[in-house]
Amino acid sequence: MIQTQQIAGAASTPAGTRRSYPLIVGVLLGALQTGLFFQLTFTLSSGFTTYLLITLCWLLGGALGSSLAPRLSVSLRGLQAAMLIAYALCGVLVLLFPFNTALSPAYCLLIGAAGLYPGVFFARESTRGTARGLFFWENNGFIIGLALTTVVFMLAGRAALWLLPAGLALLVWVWSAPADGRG
Amino acid sequence: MAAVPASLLNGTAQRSARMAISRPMLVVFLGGVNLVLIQWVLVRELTALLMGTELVVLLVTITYFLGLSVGFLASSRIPARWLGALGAAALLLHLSLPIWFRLVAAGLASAGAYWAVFLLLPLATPFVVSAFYSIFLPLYADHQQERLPRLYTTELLGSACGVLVLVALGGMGLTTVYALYAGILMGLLLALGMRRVTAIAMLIGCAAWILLLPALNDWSNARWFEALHELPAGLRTLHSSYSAYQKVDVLEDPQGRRYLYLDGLLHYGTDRWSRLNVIMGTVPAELLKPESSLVIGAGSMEMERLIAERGGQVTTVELDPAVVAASAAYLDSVNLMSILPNRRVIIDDAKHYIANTGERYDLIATDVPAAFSIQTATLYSQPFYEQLARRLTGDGVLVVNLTTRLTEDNLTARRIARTILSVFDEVMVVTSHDSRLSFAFAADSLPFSLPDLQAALEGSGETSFTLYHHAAVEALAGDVAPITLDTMDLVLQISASRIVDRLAAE
Repeated sequence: MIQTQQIAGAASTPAGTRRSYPLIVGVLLGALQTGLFFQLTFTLSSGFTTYLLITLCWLLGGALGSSLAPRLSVSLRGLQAAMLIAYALCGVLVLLFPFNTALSPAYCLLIGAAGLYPGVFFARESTRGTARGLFFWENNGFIIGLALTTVVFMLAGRAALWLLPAGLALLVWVWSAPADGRG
Repeated sequence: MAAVPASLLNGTAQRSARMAISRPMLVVFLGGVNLVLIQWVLVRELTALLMGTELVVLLVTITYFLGLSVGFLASSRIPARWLGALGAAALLLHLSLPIWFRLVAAGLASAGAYWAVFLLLPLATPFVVSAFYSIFLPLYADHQQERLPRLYTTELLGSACGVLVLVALGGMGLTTVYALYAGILMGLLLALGMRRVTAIAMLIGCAAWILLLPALNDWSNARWFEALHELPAGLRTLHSSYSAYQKVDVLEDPQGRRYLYLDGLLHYGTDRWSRLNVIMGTVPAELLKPESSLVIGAGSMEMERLIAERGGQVTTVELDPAVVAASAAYLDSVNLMSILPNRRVIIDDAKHYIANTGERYDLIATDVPAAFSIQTATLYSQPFYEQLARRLTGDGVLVVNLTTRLTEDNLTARRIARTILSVFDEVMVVTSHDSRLSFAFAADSLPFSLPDLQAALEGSGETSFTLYHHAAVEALAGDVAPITLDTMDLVLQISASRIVDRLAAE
């Protein structure tokens, strides 16, 4: 039964969308992770604890999102908005309270909340095609997002850490209309 | 139970494949742990071999993630019966990775083809390092699709455990991490259905390798430093470790001279660096007689010794405890950490420390690497200098290494000088012809004159130097932009030119 639904779902999603959608989501996730890393290491601390905070909370958020995905009724667009709000709050918080590591628990929660989206994304999108294609295209996008954000930040400054994710989020929002059945 | 297509399997392979798929969660979890552990080794080693700059770090990160894509792509094309053999090959390649990476780099450098290291190792990395572990999740998911959320959750939890393992055991060194890594990969191979006899034989091989590793690690490390940095033959590795931030190496040549390298970049060991410490340590200490001094960045900590010998409390703030430990253990004759009582070291990010400390200093010296990376560039930025200015006493002085010579055609030194000028009212610069470096002395009102500085330099043994007063520094800096968190293009330029210079030197 599950297998039948998956094949039907895969057939209903054009091959081009099955590649471009995870690719652009990957670019967005790469940009967001790189942006978080730069913002927090610049104005919170560039210590190992900041790397730990970002990596662990993002991973655990993703794990939580993935495990809750079948039971969550929130749309991917809703989670995407939550991820962007969490990212923006991190950016604002670190600007308002620079080098205040007492706020680390708040950053933990926000980054974990941002990490929910990729977890749910993978769980839901896996029903539209092969996991191989999904992970392959998302990962390629992630590499592009990581490299693009690093280079554009060096050339254009911190505005890139706001404008790039915002522009990419808009693209994902548009792309997600045909792809996200619950969008 | 869904399975790998039967067309891909035959005979005992079918039995192996059934076993393999009976434990997908374990395989994916162990793969998640080891992906993080091997990334730690790869990033430290390859970054050091390519002499870490921001572009190198980016290149290494990209190659690691490209390996994941290779694994995802291969997941539907690799017959299940190959997985065991691939795992055994991965074990062999990964446990020996630091050794063969260094020997390849040393061999190519000796043959005058160091440029090829920039092609060969990044090209090999996706296939031999990270690809293996990313095969399993899509392989299992595409044949048991209802399980993808569970598989993905499990892999992420494995990776989180990998990070925690590094936090707990990373400080115990490469051998410890590799022993654990080998154990986890062996567990993964057993879960894939490897025969016990084969597993026992491999386990014995791994144990033997782990026992040999410290000696091989030190030997190969010395060989690539000899080849890459043209150090005297007979070099010995006294210390080599991967910290949370970088690769830390202390080496000794047959004449007893010791060298400190951070991520493959020289931080101490030549006369040039000793002159740096004299100009940034002895000279201002003689002029100011500081009661309280702060040095940003540890390195050899010779500068701190030169200041502490002239009295007053000297504080070092250093991000990486591994640098402090290596310096205290192997460069004690240089820094006299065990003898001088008026010293203390604070392990913290300098920006975080400066923003939160209430202490003020008569002398602050920044002994940090050049702006090869974004993180180090922030220590040459306007916001950081503004923070430092607030931590100086009324007669306090900041001393900064401009990392090259201040000339009209040297953009890096001009950008740093312009940044200092944007924060402080009075700046003097000395260019040491022996060290081929320029140093800025800055304050809102410097408590010494240019002739005082000249006398102190001569008194410290500096024989060939040029002094620039404030107006001359202004003129040399010109109209370049100061370094801020929004103008980090300098890092890109330095990073690219460093690679080009290194390749052109062949």
